[in-house]
Amino acid sequence: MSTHSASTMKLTLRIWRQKDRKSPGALQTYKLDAVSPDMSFLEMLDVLNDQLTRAGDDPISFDHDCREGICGSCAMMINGRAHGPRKATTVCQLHMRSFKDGDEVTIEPWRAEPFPVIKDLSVSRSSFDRIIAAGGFVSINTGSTVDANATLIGKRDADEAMDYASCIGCGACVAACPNAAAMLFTGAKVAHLVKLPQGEVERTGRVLNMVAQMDKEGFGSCTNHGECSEACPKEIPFDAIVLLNREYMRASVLGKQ
Amino acid sequence: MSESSPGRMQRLLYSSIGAKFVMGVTGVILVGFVLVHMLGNLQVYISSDTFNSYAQLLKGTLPLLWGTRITLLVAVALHIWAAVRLTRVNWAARPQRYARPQRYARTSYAALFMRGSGVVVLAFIIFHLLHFTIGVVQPENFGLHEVLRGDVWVRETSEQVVNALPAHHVRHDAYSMFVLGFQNWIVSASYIVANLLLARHLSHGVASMLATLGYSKGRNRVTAERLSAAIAGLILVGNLSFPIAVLAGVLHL
Repeated sequence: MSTHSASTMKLTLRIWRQKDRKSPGALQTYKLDAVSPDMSFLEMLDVLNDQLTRAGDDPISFDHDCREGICGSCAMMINGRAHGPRKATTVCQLHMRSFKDGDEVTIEPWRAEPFPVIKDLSVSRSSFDRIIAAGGFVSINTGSTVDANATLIGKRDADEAMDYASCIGCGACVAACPNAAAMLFTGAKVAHLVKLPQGEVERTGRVLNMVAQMDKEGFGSCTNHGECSEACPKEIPFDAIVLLNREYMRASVLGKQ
Repeated sequence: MSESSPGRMQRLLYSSIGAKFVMGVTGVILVGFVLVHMLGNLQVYISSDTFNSYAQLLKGTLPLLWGTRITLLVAVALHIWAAVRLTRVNWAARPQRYARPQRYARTSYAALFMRGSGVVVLAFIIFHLLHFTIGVVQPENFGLHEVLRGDVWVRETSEQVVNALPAHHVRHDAYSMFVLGFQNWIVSASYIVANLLLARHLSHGVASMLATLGYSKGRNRVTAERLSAAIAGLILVGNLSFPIAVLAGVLHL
């Protein structure tokens, strides 16, 4: 066989294998040769799965969809960091050039009670969907199109709302949090509507119901470490949590449903 | 609005954010007290008379004394209640830990060690009360008095003289208790260790409570963190100065 070109890498992968929700899992070691630095991390896993399938082994289950950093599916803990070593990067956008030849790479699923492992690296994030559903609807007029400038929104508020709305619900904040708290996620979902007049009507009930659902799902509570916004691939600022605290306080004082 | 919906207070207290508010509000009360306590004690550097007059004022103003004591006791109890409640929630939220521990990007040892520092500080508060408030630790230093001779207060070691005088002619000799207490190396060492951990607790605690209470948005977050470090540092320097000044002989009888 020909020798690999100098630019390819050999990696030792330690990957969490777990048959289903009930079975206990364990880290299993795989050797992978000829990893191109230009591959994305998911492509590297595709190559490994191809080898496993050809050998008649069970391929590693992991979630992926858009592979362009906006769907939030590719949830995995890489060497103790949510989505790997690079800031503001999902796993699909992480390239193997972030690793060196001979590296040992540990890959685990998100660990949180409300994110049960389905298989290997796939976890259920339905708890996030239920928090969003608890927020309810937004009352807006439908029918004929509203004039573009009918409701004026300040530039700063519009920008801030857009920043919070960029949350893709990937769960990295929960995975990175020492307490497995979902305050950054819930905060972002509450905060992007707080900044807009469209969110005003259901403002009080929304935050109360979303926080109640967040607690019911069994997420931890924030102790202000700030790991969440560091891990967030969309760089949702820690401000989302401060705003959530403010909104919850306001709603508790007003006490409306 | 449905009739079965829980009341505001009930809902607030049962929520995780409600427990965080309890933690933050009691934190404000407690850190406020620790700061005032340290500043008040700095009067020991002026003179023994100033210090003892200050002690006399505090102990003599009963509504202030008991108002403060009850407020602090309730604040400590609620602070611990919130800590226990949130800790249980947080531990339950991640029953299976990572096989390879998380690599943190931002948090501090102080933040990760809040429970440990909190428990040590609690043990220290109990020791401190037994020492200077209840007088169990060094009872021989606790029963010292000063008596009024003409216009000046002087130390009086004879219990018979003290007992014979009317109450307004006798006051606690808090200064001597303070100096003799810290002349004991073990006592001083325990104060130094406890205050180092208290400073660690506050260096995260103050910033954390400002975030919980909704202050730390945008640039305020940096301000909150600087304030947190400043308050923790100020309290540390002030409180550590007392045992060190006594051991170095700067403060003496």
